[in-house]
Amino acid sequence: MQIAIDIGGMSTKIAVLDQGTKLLEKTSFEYEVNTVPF
Amino acid sequence: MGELIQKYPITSIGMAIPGIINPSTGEVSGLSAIADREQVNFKTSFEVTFQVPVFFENDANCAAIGEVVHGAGKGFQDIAFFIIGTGLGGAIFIDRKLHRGVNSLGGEMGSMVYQKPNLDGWSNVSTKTGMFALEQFYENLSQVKKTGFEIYQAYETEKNAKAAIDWQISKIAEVILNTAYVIDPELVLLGGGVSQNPLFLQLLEDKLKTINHQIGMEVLFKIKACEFTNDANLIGAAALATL
Repeated sequence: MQIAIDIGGMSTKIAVLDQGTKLLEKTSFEYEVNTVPF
Repeated sequence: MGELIQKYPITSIGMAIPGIINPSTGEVSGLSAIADREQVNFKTSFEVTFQVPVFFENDANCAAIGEVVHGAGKGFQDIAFFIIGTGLGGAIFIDRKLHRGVNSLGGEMGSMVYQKPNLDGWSNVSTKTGMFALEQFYENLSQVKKTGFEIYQAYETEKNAKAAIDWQISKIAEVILNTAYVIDPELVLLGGGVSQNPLFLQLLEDKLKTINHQIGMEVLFKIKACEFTNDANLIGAAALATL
C-alpha cells in the first residue's frame, strides 16, 4: 500500500491506495491560493 | 500521515507537486504553488520522519504516469499526454518511460512558444490553449463572463461560444500535431475536465484530420481521453514506486 499526496494551488489531497488504483482512504484540506502550509 | 502509517502497511509515499521536479534530489523549482519551495525538501524530510521511501514528481507527470501504468495508456509504447486545465501541461513517454530531458523540461508542451500578433512579443502556448484562454476569448467576443463548461454547453446554440471553442480547438490541435511530428506517438492521451466532454473530443479529432489533410498528411496516432479524473494525480503518485 502507498500513501499518495497531491499538492495543488488551493488544496492538498492525501490518500491510501492499494493495488494501484483502489483508494482505501482519502482526505483533503484547503487553503488560500499559493499558500501551501508546509 | 503518522496515523495512516500506523494503520496501514505502507511501503512508500508518492507525491504530486506543481513545478519543475528533480526526483533524485527533492528540489522543486520553476512556477509552483509552493511559495517556500527552495526551503523545503519533501523527499528528505518525509523519508526521515516516516522511514519509508518517498517518490515525487511533477503533478501533470503524475496524472500521465497513472494513466500509462493503470489507465488509458496501458499497452501503448510511445505516448504524448496533454492535460487541458487552466492552461496546458504535458508529458512524453518513449518506450513507456517518461522523457524528462536534461533539465526536467521534457514534455512541457505548454511552454512551446509562439509570437503574438503584430510582432508584439512572445508567449507560451499554455496561455492560448487552456480553459482560462477560452473564457477570456469568449468574454472578449461577447462581453459576458462564462465558465469553460458553460461555453461548451452553448456550442450548438450560441455563435460566440462556437467561435471561442473553434479557436481553442485549433490552438490545441496545432500543439498536438507539432508534438506528434517530433515524437511520432502511438497514442495521444488527453486529460483535464474538458477531455471527458465528447464534443471536445469530436471537434478535436475533426480538426486534426482537417489540418493534416491540408498539409497532405493523415492522422496516424490514436486519441483517447484519460480514464482517471479527480484522482489522477493520486493514482500517478502512488504508481511512482512501481516505476
